Amino acid sequence: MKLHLSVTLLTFWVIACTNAKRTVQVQYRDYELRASYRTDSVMQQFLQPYTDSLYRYMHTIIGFATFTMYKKQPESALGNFLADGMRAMAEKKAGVHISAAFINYGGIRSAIQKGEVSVEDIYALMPYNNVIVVQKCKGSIVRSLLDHVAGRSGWPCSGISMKIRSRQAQDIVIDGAPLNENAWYYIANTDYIAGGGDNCLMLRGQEQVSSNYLFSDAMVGYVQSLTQNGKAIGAAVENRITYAP
Amino acid sequence: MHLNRRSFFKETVTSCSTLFFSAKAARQLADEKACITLLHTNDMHSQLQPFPMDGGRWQGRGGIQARAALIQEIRKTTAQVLLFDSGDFFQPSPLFSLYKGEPEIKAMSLLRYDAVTLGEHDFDAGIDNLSHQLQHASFAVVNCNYDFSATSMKERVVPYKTFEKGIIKAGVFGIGIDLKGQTQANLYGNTKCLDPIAAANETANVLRTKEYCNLVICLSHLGDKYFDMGIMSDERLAQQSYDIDVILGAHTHRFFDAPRVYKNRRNSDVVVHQAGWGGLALGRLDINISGGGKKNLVHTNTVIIGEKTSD
Repeated sequence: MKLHLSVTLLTFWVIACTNAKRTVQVQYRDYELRASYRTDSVMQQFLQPYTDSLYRYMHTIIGFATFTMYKKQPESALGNFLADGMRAMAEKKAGVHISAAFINYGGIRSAIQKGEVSVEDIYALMPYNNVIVVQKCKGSIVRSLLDHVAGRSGWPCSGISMKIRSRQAQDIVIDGAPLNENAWYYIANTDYIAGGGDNCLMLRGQEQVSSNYLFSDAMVGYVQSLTQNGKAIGAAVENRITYAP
Repeated sequence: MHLNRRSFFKETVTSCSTLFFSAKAARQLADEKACITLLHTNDMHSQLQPFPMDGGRWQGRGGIQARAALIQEIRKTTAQVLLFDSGDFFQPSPLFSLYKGEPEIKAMSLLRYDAVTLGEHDFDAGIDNLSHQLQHASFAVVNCNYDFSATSMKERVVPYKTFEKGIIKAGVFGIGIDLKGQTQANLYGNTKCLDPIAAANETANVLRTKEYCNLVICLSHLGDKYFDMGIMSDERLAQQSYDIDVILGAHTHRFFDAPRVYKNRRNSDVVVHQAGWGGLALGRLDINISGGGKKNLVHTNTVIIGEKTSD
């Protein structure tokens, strides 16, 4: 029994010694993986079949356009098409009614050419792997976002109509009615904007109810549904955003 | 009975002398410096390929082929290496949309990751998909503040894992962000998110006092720090912790110029680091552990930090 106790004590002592060794020095070095860095052939081989089939997918024709569409402010067919697709698909995915969808104008990096449209053409429109974020916001937050949109000379939007007067949003109609500052709305943005990007600080911290839908995937799905219904890619320019006289 | 007592006596003497020997050996070893190299990534976001040559800021950079070569090189010249990821290895990329994470998990297994924790985007194709893809994982998935007991992730996740490298026993645990408000509720299902600080302190204490780890590492997906101090972050976790030595962070996609050092509740140093995102960088911390002897029994521990200049 005595012996047993001393063994136990000894064990504690050993542990105490072991435990006493603590971090004293840390050297750091971060490696940047530059374009010139050599590649590992095993990993290259592993990845090849995936990237090959990704390549095939990207070159699949999924729709058609009857005219060439460029982005334009304060409103354009291309912008409306993107915002409408974003709203419709996000609504399906999130399972809530989405009152409005927005796309930061600077984020659109390509156009749609007349003729057949491939998956890659859709991915090229906003090539940042953005995801659609649906947020639940008070009307006052929506107004603040729309003032920002007005200050940026108009962004593609869906579900909204408004006028720009001296860089402010006026006559805002959302869900077919004037904006109510105290009502709650679900709105869709890219993760970049929803996280406060482009100085959209009013959106930072607002509750996110959905954030798992790749924007380009949503648009590919939207184009596929248009094609299935025999419709061409596009949207009407219908004075969603205009300058007040 | 007599025999039993005799054999007990014999065994005790044997284990006693073994203990005497290990005590001496441990002390000797403890006087020498022991080094371990922690390599880490975070927020890979399914970016297995280098960034496309589209004139963008990161064009041509990153890619898991280059990372594999770099990690291999480091392993060749460094004896004791652990490789970690702090979550958001999934989404968003067309590759993830097509394969739902299979190549990411397989690639990380090929790279011989030792442990990873989870980010909110890892649930993006649903919790059952995450669980399904993790069948390809040869690494441990650590998290101690998500209660997965009512989900398919139950068998896939452990609160912590320990690694013995020479005289270093490293304990690694994971902390996740509150999923509510970060992602859609139906994606993470019946996962319960518990208080990260309480869970972290409890787990770190187990690693320190029950597992006898001399290096306690937290893989965190909380984010390094926020303008709004009310938001849970690595900074707050570090300051309110007792037993964590190193926090390898994620979520905020930050490229650190140098690791940050915070004082914890015992006035000891906690090192916080993060390595950008998208596989653009590989973080490295070489940790020297020295000491032994009674004076090191004090709880306060100071870290000397510096840039690694030589290979």
